[in-house]
Parts: sequence; C-alpha cells; structure tokens
Amino acid sequence: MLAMTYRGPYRVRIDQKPMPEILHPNDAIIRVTRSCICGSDLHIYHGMIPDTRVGCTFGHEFVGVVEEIGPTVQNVKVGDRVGVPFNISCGSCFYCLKQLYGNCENTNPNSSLGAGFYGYSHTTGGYDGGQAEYVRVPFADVGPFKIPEGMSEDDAVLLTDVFPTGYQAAEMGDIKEGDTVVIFGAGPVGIFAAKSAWLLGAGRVIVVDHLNYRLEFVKNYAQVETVNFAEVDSIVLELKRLTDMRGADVCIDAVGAEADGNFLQTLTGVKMKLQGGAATALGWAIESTRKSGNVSIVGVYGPPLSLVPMGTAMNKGLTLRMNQCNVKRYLPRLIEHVQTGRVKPSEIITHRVPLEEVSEAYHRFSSKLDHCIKTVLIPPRAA
Amino acid sequence: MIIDKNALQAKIPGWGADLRPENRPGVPKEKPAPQGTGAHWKEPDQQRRDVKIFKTIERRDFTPVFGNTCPPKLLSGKLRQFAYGLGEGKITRWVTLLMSDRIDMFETIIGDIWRGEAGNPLREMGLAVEFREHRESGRAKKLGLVLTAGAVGFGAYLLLRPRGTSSVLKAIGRREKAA
Repeated sequence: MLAMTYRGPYRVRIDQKPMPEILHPNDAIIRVTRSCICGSDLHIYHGMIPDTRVGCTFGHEFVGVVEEIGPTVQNVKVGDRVGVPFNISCGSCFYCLKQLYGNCENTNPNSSLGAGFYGYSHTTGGYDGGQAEYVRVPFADVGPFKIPEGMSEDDAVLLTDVFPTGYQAAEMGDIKEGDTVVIFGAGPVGIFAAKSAWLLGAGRVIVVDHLNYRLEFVKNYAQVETVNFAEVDSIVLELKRLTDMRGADVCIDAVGAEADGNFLQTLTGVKMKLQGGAATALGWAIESTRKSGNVSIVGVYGPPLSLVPMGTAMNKGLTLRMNQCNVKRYLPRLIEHVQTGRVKPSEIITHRVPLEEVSEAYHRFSSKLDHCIKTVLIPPRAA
Repeated sequence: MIIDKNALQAKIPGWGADLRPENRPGVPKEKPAPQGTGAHWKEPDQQRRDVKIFKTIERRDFTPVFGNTCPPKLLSGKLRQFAYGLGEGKITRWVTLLMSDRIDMFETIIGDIWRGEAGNPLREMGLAVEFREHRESGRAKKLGLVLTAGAVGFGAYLLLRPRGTSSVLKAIGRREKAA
C-alpha cells in the first residue's frame, strides 16, 4: 500500500509499505479516505519529538471505511464509515473510566506522559498513522465513531482532533458569560478555539498571530478581533491596553513548541533543542491574563522542560489547565453543533491534495505558502 | 463585562449554546461515560510481541497494545536502548533519543546508497512547490536571486582571473624565489 514515510527532518516521501495486519483481537483495519496534516505534525516533521524513527508514517487525523475487524470487535462492522480519534484508548483503565481518554494508560509502553497516538513517534507508542491507504486501529470498539448519514468526510475528519481540541481549549478556560478570551495562534486549533469560545458564552474574543492571511481568515470565519504581534511593540502591553489594563479573563495557548516572537526562546527551544520548544506563546498567555484568570494550554511541547514565567503565574493566582484532547468525550456534542449548522468545520480546509503529493503538501504547510491553513490528503483508493 | 446578548446571538451562530455547565462535555473534569466507553472487557487481551519494543522504566508491564513499526536497529537502536533505561525526568534520556533519531537518518542514507536505492532529498523536501505554485512568493524570488548571483559571480571569476597560473601556484613560486 502507499504510505507517507518520514526520512529525517524536513523530508518525507511516499513509499510502498506492507499492509497493516490485525495484531490484537480488538483491532480493525481501516481503508483511509481522508487524512489531514495537523499543526502538531510539523513538530515531528521538523525533528523536534524524540524517538521519531525513519520509515514511520505520520497522520493522526483520519477517516475511512472499516476493511477488516478482529475476532472480538462488536461495535463496528466491515463497510462502516468511521472517524478515528487521534488518541488510542482502551476504554477500561483508571483514566478511560473517568473519560480522560487522552491519558489512557494501556496504549503507550514507551512513556508515561500520554496515551498512544497514531503516527506520532515512539514517544507516543510507535503506531503508524493514517497518511496512508490503510491503517491499523487498536481497540476498535472504543475509539472509532460512525460518521452520521449526511455528514461529509471533510467535516468528519476535522472531528478527529482539531475541532475537539479547540473546543476543549475553550472549555478548560472555564469561560463565563461575557468573558474576554485571548487566543494565541490563528492556526486550525486556534480558529476552533475562537469559534468554541463563542459557543461557551464569551463576550469578546481576540486572536493573536503574525500571519496576516490567517488573522484575516479567523476574523471572517469566527467574527473575532485580531492583533498581529509583529506590528506592535509589546503584545502583552497591547492586550492589556485592549482590556482596561487588567488583562484577559482567559488566555489560550494554541501555538506550542514552534512559536515565533522571542529570539531567546527560538534559539534555545527550536534551534538548540535545550528545552521542549519555544514557550513564547505560553509566556505571553501567562503575562496577558488578569489576576485570578485562567490559562488553557493545548499547544504541544516536547519533553522534558520549558522556560515559562511560573513566578508571574503564581503571584497572579492563575489557574493553568492543559491536556491532550479527550476526543471521544466531545464527539456527541460537537456532532450536534455540526449537524445544526452552528459550526461548519470543513470551511477551514484550504488544500485537498493526492496522498502522492505528500512531500510538497508538508513543505507548503510548514512554510505557510499559498495561504495554507488546513491540508487534506486523499489516498488513491479513497473513492 | 456587560454584554448585549441579543446582538451577540444575532451575530454569532450558536452563541452561548454551551454556556450552562451541563452542556459542557468536559465538566466536571472526571466523570464516567454515561453510555459506557465501548469496552466489553475488564482487562484487555495482550498483543503479541514480535519485534523489539522498548518500555519506559516508569511502567511495571508492557501495555496491552503497542505500535510495531520501525523496530530499533544498528547504533541508533543501541542508543535508544540506553535511553529507555533512564527515567523520563532525565534530560539525558530525551537528548539521547533525539541523537538516535539523527543517527538513524544517516544509517538509513548509507543503507539506501549501499542498496542502490538512494532517494532524492530535494524531492523529499517538497521544494518543487516553491517554484511550481509560488513563483510570486518572496522566498522563491530570493532563492532564484541567490542562485543567479552565484552563477554570475562564478562566471565573472572564470572570465577575469589571471591566465596561466593560479594564485596559489604564484604564491608558491614567490616563496621559492625568496628562498
């Protein structure tokens, strides 16, 4: 089968790989019909996540058709159209029973920092991902959800990670009616965090980035105010000025490890890899939140440490909340939002390209060419 | 902040739909799934281990499932084995794994050349997209400018350099004369 393979930092290609097999009684094999390139895929593409082995296949946002099932699978059958949450969860461990599916302790032998994820290095379990024609899906009775009749695959694929992650980001901010919410990052997750902040009753939503095309997009798509941090002397001061010199009630970091805007952070975090990425946006979030406010973090950072102003956070009495998204938990409500037309996720897709053009798709997304926001890869056997 | 709810509802589709905590799927943070998780086992079955799989020392046992892609190999594999013997709080563990990733890359390149299957790094970097679709982009222009300037500079050097002997040979000659 065709599959994207990692060759080293900034290098990927399409290769022939053996078909995935049923390795566990509750496995399923999915024929992929759509997969996305996620912003967090760029961290592994850039060689920032430890134990990313040459030859592995990325891709943790995908939908497809069930092709084969293991002997104990009951909840999906061959031929079902399914979406697959990016985190692999057993449904029966200490965390899954509390619906903390992103923290499942039965799917990642390689580290204790998170559950298994599809196509995201051996640090998260060493699973091949969905940027391929076929993919193995463990615990098929727990993860996959049937795509409702009438829902497009383009909408469904954005329910496997990016929309739920944006929603959880807003929800973890504990937004109250009328709150001012600042979101760092106008990428796909930031866009859905903005959309979700309104669903949760925010009174004002401000999105910060330095790419004007993305700010323009989010302004129109989510009806928010925008600030380009590259066009102001100090983004923290500018945000305070916009919020009565007090700061925002809630700040959301939807950027993560490869933030721009601070030379020292970029040098030590991105270039020298002395910390788990550049924690610039997270630092700004802490500085820009009002005392006793909430900071919500969904930006991905590498292990083991990041330089953040903890003293400021402590003195201001901030609440910091963060987690990988517990996708499965959010699906019923978010499917409802899509079906009622409150949110139309597929509108953020800017590029639909054949899987065979994966190298160029990664370069386009990584270099922010052609006003790229979200890329969907379509395998040859998708139809 | 005082807000005009009607104006927000008119402007934003679904504004406030999840204002009430009972409409928020993640509130409270820890709660059982109302319809169950889909699991119909107490303890999941164990996947067979057919390839070398590393386990963090911060776990007692292997997990019931795991990925089996790209098993460790050669020097990079040995380094990974060393790293997995360290606790997750140690920076040495993570730096060693990053180092193994780079060594893995070079091992693969050498292996590919040995088998006569070397890929095309430029194609793997997807650079063609810069020229095919983005000729108007600043970076494509800059890259073109640098390459053109380099070619012109090299051509000028070839045309204008002293004929007969290279400057290095001249310098050697001068030293010999002085001696």
